[in-house]
Amino acid sequence: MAFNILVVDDSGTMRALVKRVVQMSGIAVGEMYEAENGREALDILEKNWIDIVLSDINMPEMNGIEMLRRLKANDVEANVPVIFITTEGGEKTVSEAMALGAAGYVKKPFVPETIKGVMLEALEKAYGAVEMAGDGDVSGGDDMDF
Amino acid sequence: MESRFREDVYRSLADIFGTMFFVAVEESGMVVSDYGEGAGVFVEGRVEVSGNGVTDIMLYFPLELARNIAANFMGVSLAELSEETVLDAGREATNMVVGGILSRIDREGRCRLGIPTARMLDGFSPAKELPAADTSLYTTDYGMLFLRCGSLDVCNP
Repeated sequence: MAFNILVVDDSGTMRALVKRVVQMSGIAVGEMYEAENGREALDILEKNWIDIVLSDINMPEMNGIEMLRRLKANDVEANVPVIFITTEGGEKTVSEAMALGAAGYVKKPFVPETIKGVMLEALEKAYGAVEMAGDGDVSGGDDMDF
Repeated sequence: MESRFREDVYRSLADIFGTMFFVAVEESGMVVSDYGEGAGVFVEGRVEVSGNGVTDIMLYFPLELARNIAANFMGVSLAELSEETVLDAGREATNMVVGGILSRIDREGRCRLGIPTARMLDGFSPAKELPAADTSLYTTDYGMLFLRCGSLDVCNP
């Protein structure tokens, strides 16, 4: 199974970085979608089959927490795992996200292995065994120099 | 800047620049008055911190540093970068640095980050434009990085 992935962040450079990390993770990727805020993300989720969401929290128009709250209130999309990748690291924000049903939490700065690990855990919990498309070496190299 | 707070700020900078950008950051012994007219082109990243009041934190990236951060983020060469991409990377780097500082001084999450902004500053003159008491200087391989930050009392209960 290849997973359709939605990356939500108001920063285009951060979306590009997260997409590169996912593509190099070895996880089989189908379609990759992008949204600049929670409102755009909900629109994409309504119109497309999305298997997992990787989202920032602090965004204009609609933040990630509000997006998750609305997602969980929707019968069709409530089970789509949402992982937050964010600078918001206070205990209050993390607790609120996890209480609302976030599938995982990655704090910036991150190393690629962290995102891969949290994604695998969330995908396995939601869909069972995860098919890998490659060796998934995200530890570094010329194409991923952080 | 009080020494414990200064240490938290430095650790956040070093952590983010080292982990995400592979750029070493060191505290500089220099002061802002050493940088007078025309220090060059800088990217100003700014983000609001709100708690029991509101304050702004600003980072001033030498253009070369901002361009290298952007190239690392996007996985492209320096020649492929647009100005908007460089500004976006400046916004995101500022967001991460300030988020890192808050994680250290505000574990309960009393303070909130605003939406970061960035702009290009040509002919930036730190000595004229930045108050010495609130400005810290950091050396990088791509020039001097300036951070302007007050006491962040707004995060106190």
